[in-house]
This record gives sequence, C-alpha cells and structure tokens, in this order.
Amino acid sequence: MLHEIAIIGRGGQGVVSMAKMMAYAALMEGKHGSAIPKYGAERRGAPVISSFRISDEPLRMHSQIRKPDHMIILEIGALPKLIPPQPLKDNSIVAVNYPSTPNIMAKYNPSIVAYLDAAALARKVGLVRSGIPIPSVPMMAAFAKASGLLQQESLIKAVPKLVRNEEMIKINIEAIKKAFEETEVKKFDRIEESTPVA
Amino acid sequence: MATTQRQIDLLTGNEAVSAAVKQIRPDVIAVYPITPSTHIAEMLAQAVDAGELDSEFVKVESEHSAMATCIGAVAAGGRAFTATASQGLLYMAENIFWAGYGRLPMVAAVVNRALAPGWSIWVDHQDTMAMRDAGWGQFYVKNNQEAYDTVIQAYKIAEDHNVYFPFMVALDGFVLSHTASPVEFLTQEEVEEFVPPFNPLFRLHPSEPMSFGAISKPDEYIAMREDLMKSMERAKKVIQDVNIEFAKKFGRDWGGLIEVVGPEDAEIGIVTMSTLAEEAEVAAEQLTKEGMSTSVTRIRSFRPFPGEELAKQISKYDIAIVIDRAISFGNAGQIYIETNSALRDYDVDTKLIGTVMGIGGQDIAYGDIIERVKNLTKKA
Amino acid sequence: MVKLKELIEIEATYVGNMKGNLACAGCGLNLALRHALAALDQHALLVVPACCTSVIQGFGEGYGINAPVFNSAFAASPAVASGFARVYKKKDPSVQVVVWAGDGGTADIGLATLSGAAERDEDIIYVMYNNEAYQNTGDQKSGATPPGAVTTTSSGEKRPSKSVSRLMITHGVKYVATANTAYPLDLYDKMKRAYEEFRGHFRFIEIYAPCPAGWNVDPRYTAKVGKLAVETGYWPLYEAVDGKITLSRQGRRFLDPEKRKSLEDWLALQGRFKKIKPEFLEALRQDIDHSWEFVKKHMAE
Repeated sequence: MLHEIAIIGRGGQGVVSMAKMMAYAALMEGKHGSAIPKYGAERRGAPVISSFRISDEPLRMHSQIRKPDHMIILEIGALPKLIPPQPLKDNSIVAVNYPSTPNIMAKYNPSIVAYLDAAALARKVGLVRSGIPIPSVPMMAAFAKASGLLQQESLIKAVPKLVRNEEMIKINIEAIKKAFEETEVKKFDRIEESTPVA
Repeated sequence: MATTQRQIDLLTGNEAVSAAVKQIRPDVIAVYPITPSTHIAEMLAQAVDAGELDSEFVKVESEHSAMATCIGAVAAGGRAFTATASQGLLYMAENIFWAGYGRLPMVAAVVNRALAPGWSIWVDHQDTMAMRDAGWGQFYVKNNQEAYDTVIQAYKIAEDHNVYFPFMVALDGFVLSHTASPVEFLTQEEVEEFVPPFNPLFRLHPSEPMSFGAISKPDEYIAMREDLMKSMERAKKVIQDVNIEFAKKFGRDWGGLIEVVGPEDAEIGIVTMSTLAEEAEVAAEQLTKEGMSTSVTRIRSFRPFPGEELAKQISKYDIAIVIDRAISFGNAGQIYIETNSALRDYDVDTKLIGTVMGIGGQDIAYGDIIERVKNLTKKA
Repeated sequence: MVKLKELIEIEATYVGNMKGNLACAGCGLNLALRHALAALDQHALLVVPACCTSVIQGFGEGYGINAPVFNSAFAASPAVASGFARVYKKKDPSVQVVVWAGDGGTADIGLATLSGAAERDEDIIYVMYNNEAYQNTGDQKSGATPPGAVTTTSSGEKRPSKSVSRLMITHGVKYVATANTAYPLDLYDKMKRAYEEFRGHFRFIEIYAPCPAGWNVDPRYTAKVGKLAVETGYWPLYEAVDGKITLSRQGRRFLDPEKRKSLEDWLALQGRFKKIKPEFLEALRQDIDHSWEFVKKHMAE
C-alpha cells in the first residue's frame, strides 16, 4: 500500500536528510521509499516541505505530495502556510514536535496524533547544531512508532548511511530509542477545537 | 539473469550518473558547475582527488571550454564525459555541434532545466530540445535507475563503429537529480565486460599528419552529413540491441527506442518522455480502471527519432495525446511536431493531440495528467 | 643559438608546411609556422581556431601542413588543446600540443579560454601569431591592432593595442616569449626552449607576423617590415621565465631609444599607416614607451 507523507519544518531542521534516512530504512525492510525535496530559494528558517512516499511496490510518482495521507511536523508554526487547514484523509497519522496535541490539529482532524517534545529530547541527547536543537530524527522515530510503517531497528541501521561521525551516530541512535520511549500516541474520533491541551 | 550479488543504494539522479561515470572511467572529465547538475562535478572531482578514479578532471573556466576539452580528449583517442544544464548547455552550443558534426563519441549528462530570462532552476526540456539538431543522440530517462543504466549503455552505443557520434543522457532537474530512490549497481567487472575499452576510429597523432575539420567543399560536406544521417539510422538498431543485451544480462529492460506501458489494446495513448512518462503510467492505470483504456508510449531515444516504431504503436490507438515539456515557439511542442510528421510518413490516421505540461518546473502529478487527458479527449 | 646553416639543413629535411599551401605571397605567418614546426621535431600536434591557418592548410586532399591539425571553434582552442594534452600525458607523452592562433582568436574572442588554460598550467605551447587584425576575413580591427592603423572597420584609433604577452606574464605563465618572423634563428631557439626546457607547463609565444595583404605592404618587404618593427623599438624581443624578463640578444640594444630607427620610415612602408594623423602617431609612440617601461620593470636582475 502507498503512503504519502508530508514533512513540514523550517530550513536547517534536517528535513531533507531525515526523509532520506526514512527512505534507507524502507529499503532495508524491502519496501520502496522515495524522498522528494522541494527546492527553491532556500534559506535557514524559511518554511520547508518535503515529500516522502513509502510503498510495497516500486514508486513511479515524481510529483510533490499535495494532499498527504500523513504528516510529520517539525515546527507547528510552519504548518498552515504549507498545508492549508482542512481535514486530512481517513486514518491519517500526524507526528508533531510539541509537548501535547496542538489546538490547530482540530482543523486537520487526524485519526492519530503522536506528540513528542523533540526539541527538548534533541537538546538532552546532544542533537544540536549551532546552538539549535535538531528535531528531525526524533520526529522520524515518533512517526514510525505511531504508524508502524518503519521499524525501530531499520531506522537505527539507516543512521550510518547519512551520518559519518561515530559520536554523532551514537547520539542519533540514542535519539531514536528515546523517541520511541517518550512519544505519546493518541487516537481520536474527532478533535474538537476545545480539546484540552494535555 | 546473472547470479552476482549486486549492491543497491539510495541515490539521487546526480549520484546515479556519477556512480555510472566512475565505473566507466573516462580519461577526461571536464565540467563547469551549474545548478542542478553541480553535484555531478563535485562528486567526480572528489573521487579523482581521493584517488578512487584515475581520470583527468579538468576544472575549466566555462561550459564552452568543458565541451572543447572533451572534444580534444576524444580526438586524441580518449574517453570523455561532461555534465551540464540549461544556460550551460546553451553556452556549450557551438562545441556541442562541433562534437556532433565532428563525430566525436562521448557522453554528456544534461540535467534538464528551464531557460532564462525569468530565472528558473527547475525542470523543463527547452535546453536539450534546442540541441536536437546537433548530431547527438538524446536519451531521456524516467527514473534514477534508468539514468545509471543509460549512462553505461550510452558509452557502448556512442563508441560502436556503426554509430560513432556523441550522446546526451537527459534527466529531469530536481525531480530526478535531487530525489533519492533505490538504484542497483552493476559490478565493476560487469561494466567493463559490457562496455569494452574505447577503440577510436581515428585519432590525431604526429605519426600520421592529417587535418580534422579543414575547409570542405560542398560535395565533401554533403558526404559527411549524409554519413551522419545514415549513422543515426544505424544507431536505432544498435540502441535496441544494446537494450536487449542489457536486459538479458542485468534484468532491466528500458524499451530501447520507445517503451510502452499499459494494456495492449488501449484506445487512448499518452505519448511523452522522462519522468512525465512514469507519472503518466499511474494516470493510465487509473484511467483504464475508470473505463478509458489507456497506455503510455514513452520516447526514450528522441535522437535518433523512432518515427517508424512510434507510428506503428500509435496506429493501435483511437486517439493519442502528446505531452511536451518544451515548446517550439511559433509552432508547437517538439515531440508533437515530430510525432505528427512520423504518422504522415507511415500513413497512420490516429487522431493526435498535442499539449504542453510542466514547463518552468511546474509540478505535474498523475491527477493533472488524468484531468488533461479527459479534457482533451472530450473535445476531440 | 642555432646557426643559419643548421636551420636551413633542418628545414630541408623536415618541411613543416609544404609547397603549394594557400598562403598569400609574402605571408609572415607561413614563415613562422615553418620555423616553429622545425623546432618541434615532428612531435607537434596543432590546434587551430578560425584564422589564416584554417585557410592556408588547404582543402581536403591538398592538405599542406606536415603535422596533424585539429581545427577548432574560434574561442575553443586552448580548451581543445587541454583535452589533447590530458590524454597524451598518459597515452603518449612525446606529443607536444600546440595552439596555433591569430591575434583575434587570442586577444579577443579566445581570451577567457586562454586565461583558463594558462591558469591551469596546461602542458601546451600557445603560439599567437600577430598580424594585428582579422586578416583571414579581410583586415578588420582586432584588440591587437596598433594605434593609427587603418582597417576595414576603423580609420585609425587612439587606443593602445592589447598586449597578450604582457598579460600572460602577469598571469604567472612559466615561459613567455616574443618573436618575429624576420628573426628566424631567435624564433627557432625560443620554440625549442619552450619545447625542451619548460615541458609540462603552459608556454606562450607571441610572434610578430607581417601581413602584406592586410597591411598594404609590398610582399618583397615582409622581412624588412618585421626587422624594422624590432629596430624602431615597436616590437621588443624578450623571454620571461617566471615573470622575469630577459631581453633577447637580437634586438637587445633597442632598449636604448637613441639606437632605435625612425618610426616614420617604417610606417611609410605600410599602406595602413599612410595617412596617419599626428595624434595617432603620438599614441603609437606612447604605446611603445609603455611597453618598454613594462619590460624594464619586469627585467631580471
């Protein structure tokens, strides 16, 4: 089955390499993953979206994902600009870098929300670049936990494909493990705007 | 299929091209950086610096000189490679024709990108289309695996003495060049066995003084161009044979000149190239499910142009939609113009409709193709 | 220095450019080519952009140069030569790649390509034969046309000519030399030195090559016009190794302005300067002064 995932964040948060890491993990599981970055006049801090497809069959689509099945949100503030607020498809999963379910989720109405304070986790394990925590790898793990589309071991095995430094490999693996432990997964029939922030 | 355990990796289109070039081991690589092909230059330069690749990497001062350096290298009996895109290809243009008309076999990877003004770093095919009369073969690939396979095939085809002219391997900017997908490598032994060492038909050397490209009288000039035309014709069979040999040995069949995907008895044909063709495969499946039986005819070799093969395939359709990603201003899309002429040559009366999609990097999803096909067939 | 008798013998055994080639009567470049090829001992491979040499090599069967020639696009020669040099470096190091180009192809359209090859220090001898205008197409002004010279696109101009030799010295080129077809022994020696002593580096030699047709000179006086260019101080003969200039034995004395011959007498031999205006003549004198100042500034101790 084909799953189309939009990865939303800001320039410098590691969106592109995270999508590639997921594609490696898919490859290791005998699945087909394709990471399609959207290139433009990129700059640090600008909202960025990247498309990720995963399927049991070879992938033939090259276009950007416009109506995602699922979303991985590294920075909630970048979301409404990139994906206009409207209900997602049925059975959609959203992983969000936030200490709880953000109120704006009501407008997207996902079936599952996985939340993780990935920035705090990144800081804790040492996933920091130029003083800024990099939430991408923990959020990848959070999504994997909630969706079951990728296994923890394959994500761990994918790390050295993109990270060369031994110390950084350890830190990334630690981040994946911790994220699997700390991510809260909540199921919803319908999220009300008034849903209390947990 | 061979039983060799082959490596699979996740590669961008640029990485796939570089991987193939490293295994082809050209004598000379001359590249000038330009988005979105720059990674190819970087990766090959780094491989040479690291001693992984025993090629001469010439850091030229322009694309014009990149192609000129390749020209000199091939005229010395060496194997050459370059990569470029967009304005870079146009800046090369004079020497592109020199290499084509001069019968200097080499391979250039062109990462398709729109032309300025109106700066656009994104894909369309205006750049390579502008070079279609330069005496080069042109392959347009639909995914990264095909990019890798086709660079290897292109050397074998270009250096064949029945062909002996240069080839471009065109891949869509960003859509392929920067997008990672799984690519299976051939082993080094397989590549070397499949593409034997370059055996030049001629080379300039002081032991045998002769002049290359001296002033030519009209009859001599015509004879050279007729020979190029004949070689283009002969190349069609070589391209098909190489594709078959490749498929037999390595299990991947890219169709040779054209590739048809979809039901045999389809009523509607989508005729296009590159990633649009693979996207269209998904559209055709959807349309077929909805009761509009559709298949995709992908032109893989735009030069030489497979007029006969296309006409034969299109004759099976009731209607064919040609999607171009470039325009010959004042006329129509180039694929449409040439396909239309082929239908006339072979007395095919299938209704042919031309349309242009995805220029300047416009993102085209299969849904967009479905919509376009529905609209155009409704009108027809 | 090679002796005249020796050069005659060398050129009798190896004829670089054969009889019956298509050069005009009294062609300076044709002489330059013969002496240069003789010095390269049958190892030369020429890369030739659009220039008079594209024509004089002749048509198909009447090919008149006893060396392989690759005819390249106008601005492409140094890069084409780079390709040749990189391949032959490994496959046959005995081959000496030579760019043989005119002044337009060097000073104007091919300048960026020349600069690139020089900066990369490609193993090439670059010869610019300077006939001071686009003579192949019938004498249009080039960047190397001197002040006051009438061409079909200019009735004399004040601007000094572009000296590519000086440019190459400041580019850090290993070996730069100026030569003149009227001084064949000096020319031969410089080619030989470039070939034998500085192999593996980019070398640049600019040869003054009078064009009787374009300059409106009696073909009998090609050598005379060339000789006077040195004797009037217009064409300093030198070699520069690593940027340090040494004046050539022939012509060294014209460093002293007192020893130089009359500029007007020399100009009078050339139709292109027939009606030279005083301000152009002044510009020409200033150009000469400027080139000697440069020479003096860069002279080896």
